Amino acid sequence: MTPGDITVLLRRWGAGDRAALDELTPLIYRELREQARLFLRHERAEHTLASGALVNEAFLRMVEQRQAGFHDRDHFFSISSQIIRRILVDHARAKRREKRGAGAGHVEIDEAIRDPAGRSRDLVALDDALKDLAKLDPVQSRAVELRFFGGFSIEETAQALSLSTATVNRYWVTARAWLLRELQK
Amino acid sequence: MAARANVLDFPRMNDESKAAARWDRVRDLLHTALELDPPRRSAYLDEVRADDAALGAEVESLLAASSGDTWLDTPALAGDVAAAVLEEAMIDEPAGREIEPGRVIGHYRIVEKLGQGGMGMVFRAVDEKLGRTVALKVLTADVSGATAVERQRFIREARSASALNHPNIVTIHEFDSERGRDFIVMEYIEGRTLDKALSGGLPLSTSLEYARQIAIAVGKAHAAGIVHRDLKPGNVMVTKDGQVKVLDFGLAKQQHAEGRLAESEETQTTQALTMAGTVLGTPAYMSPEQVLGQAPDERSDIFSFGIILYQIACGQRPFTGATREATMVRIAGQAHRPVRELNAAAPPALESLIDGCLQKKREDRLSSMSVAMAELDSILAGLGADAGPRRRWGAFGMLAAGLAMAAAGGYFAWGHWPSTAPAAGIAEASHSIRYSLELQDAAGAVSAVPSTTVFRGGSKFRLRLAALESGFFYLVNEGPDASGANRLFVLSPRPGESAAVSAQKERLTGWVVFDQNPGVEQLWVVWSRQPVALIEAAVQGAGKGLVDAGRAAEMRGLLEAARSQASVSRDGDEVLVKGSGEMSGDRIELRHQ
Repeated sequence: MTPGDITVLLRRWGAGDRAALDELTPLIYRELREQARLFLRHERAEHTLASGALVNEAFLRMVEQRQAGFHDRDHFFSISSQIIRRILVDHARAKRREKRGAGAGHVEIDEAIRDPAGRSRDLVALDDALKDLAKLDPVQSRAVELRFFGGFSIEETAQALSLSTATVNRYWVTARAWLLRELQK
Repeated sequence: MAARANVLDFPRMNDESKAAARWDRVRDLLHTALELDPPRRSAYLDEVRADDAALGAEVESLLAASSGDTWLDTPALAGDVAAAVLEEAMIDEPAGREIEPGRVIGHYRIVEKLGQGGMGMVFRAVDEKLGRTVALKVLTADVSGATAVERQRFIREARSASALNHPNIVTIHEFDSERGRDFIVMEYIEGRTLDKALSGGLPLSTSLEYARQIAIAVGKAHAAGIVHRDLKPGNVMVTKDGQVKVLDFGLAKQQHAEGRLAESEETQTTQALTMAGTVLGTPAYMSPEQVLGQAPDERSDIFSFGIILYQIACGQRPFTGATREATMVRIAGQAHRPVRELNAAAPPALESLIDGCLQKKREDRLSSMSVAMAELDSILAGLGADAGPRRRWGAFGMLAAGLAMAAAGGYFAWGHWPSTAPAAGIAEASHSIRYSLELQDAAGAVSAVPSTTVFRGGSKFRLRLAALESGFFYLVNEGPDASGANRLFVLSPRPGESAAVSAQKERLTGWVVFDQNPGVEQLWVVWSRQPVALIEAAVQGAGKGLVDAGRAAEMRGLLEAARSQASVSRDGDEVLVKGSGEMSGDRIELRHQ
């Protein structure tokens, strides 16, 4: 697998080829693993660093810079949010299964990760709610994905979705309200 | 948004787009409400409610959820991703496969892979806390993926083995696990395995000195109640200074348990053997009791030690076969070739020591490792004062010679047994089978007959059998075919039948008619706790019971091994077979008239 191949996979994925992500994921994982190790060893204290930065860095190291023009970079930065969503949600699901397996018949629901503010986040429930939201409004679902998983600012989200910042702001507020209400149900 | 409202009324819309259209409406109402100050917002909501009560309630509930900073406003952090990725990596990776230099396990940084053992991969690593070099053994999933109980036992045993403190035993620093993966941290030894050392060719005095140190190490462990269970040259390291370090004390038992765990009643033994095989590595150094599935003890280590000694003395192992199974059969049932037949220069005392170690029955073996150590000392002394590496242990040698004298009683106790002694009676029988032979003559009369009998061609016979314990029963015929060549044929079970017999339930085979070819027909009666893969394979094979010529020797070895495990007594026409192992059997000879 050459950097060029990875660029091709990224383009295919960007063009809507879902299988490309399956091919990309193990490659990204491998790259991420190395970086994650370094990150946890040297930068654990830096809690404000958004997850997107880590994955974007992994992409940048994998992709041939010459070939990936500015547009491509923008594009795969937005893909990173989907990768992160997949990583975190799969992980949360695995943890949930693990608990279930260990608990001998007792199903443990609260495997939520604690966030810095101490509030619990159930990523599996969020993922399900985002899927429901995508049925109602795919663009809003995508906006949440970029903001929460990719760590995009309102401006970056607007650029990635080709919308005005005012619209993204409005989408964000309403989608967030909808999701929180769904998660409280 | 008026256009959208119209769309809402369109009759053929499906539910999904209806919901989406309604959401568009809700979103816009919500957004408008959010832009109003509280008093005007409440008035606005009243208006919406008056128009559509459900819609109003929806917007109101969303308004309630939208206030303040929420957890969704804090993006997922790089730390979360890093932790998740690393944790997944730990769970997904088969132990050892993707462990690359630079990787950190616990607080150990992997430097390089040193080798692959039966239980896992061994790496050179640096303890990042203490800055020292260690050897890190990452256990395979087969071992660490055991049940909680099995794993607990394994940890307990590894811990007790790690308490052994001796210069000839590799020091275990730590036994730990990280995210479900077990690893052992031990002393890093610069040197080579005895396996490698032996393949390079060594003077007898040098290799016997190594053996002497192995005996010291294993003897020390035995004194502490620890059995090695997997003693072999691959588990022995030799440093540049000629010091021996024995590895992996007590760790092998788990492997055994694992092989058995993999077995279920439906599982073919072949498969179980293969599976156990991948974990166990070579069976070449196993004791007969281990081959037959019995729990090993100190005497099993003595047998394995005997194999190492034999290899040192003769340059080859005493029991080898083309397949794992063939090797195991030979260990269980075949006498080794006398040492001095292969190496006339070997000291007679060494041959005697080896014979003492390689007795098939454990109660016949050398009584302890200290006896072996003392004996090796005197053999080494006899090899001459010029023995280079020995000089370093000169003072200790004197002491050991004294020990040899003290242990002489023990030595003579085993020393007189012949090397080819067949297994005689078995002291404690743990299972027994009873069988009788019934013959039907040409007139149709059925009678029980002695198991050594003369019969007329054309007459039929069958076997009546009952076992005290549930197990598997086989009847194998060996006799001449039309061309006069010997061939092995499984008479029971027949294809499609099961060999399983229930405890104390009588079983009758079908009638067997012999051909008219003259000669001796041999019938092997075999009872086994587990299905016997080799026989099952013949039954299910294309020959429908006919044993492939290529596997005949192996089959004979197996049958002999089963027979050697049993003690047989006759009670009239009934034969009682007693055994203590996994298998036992008897041979019946029928002579054509």
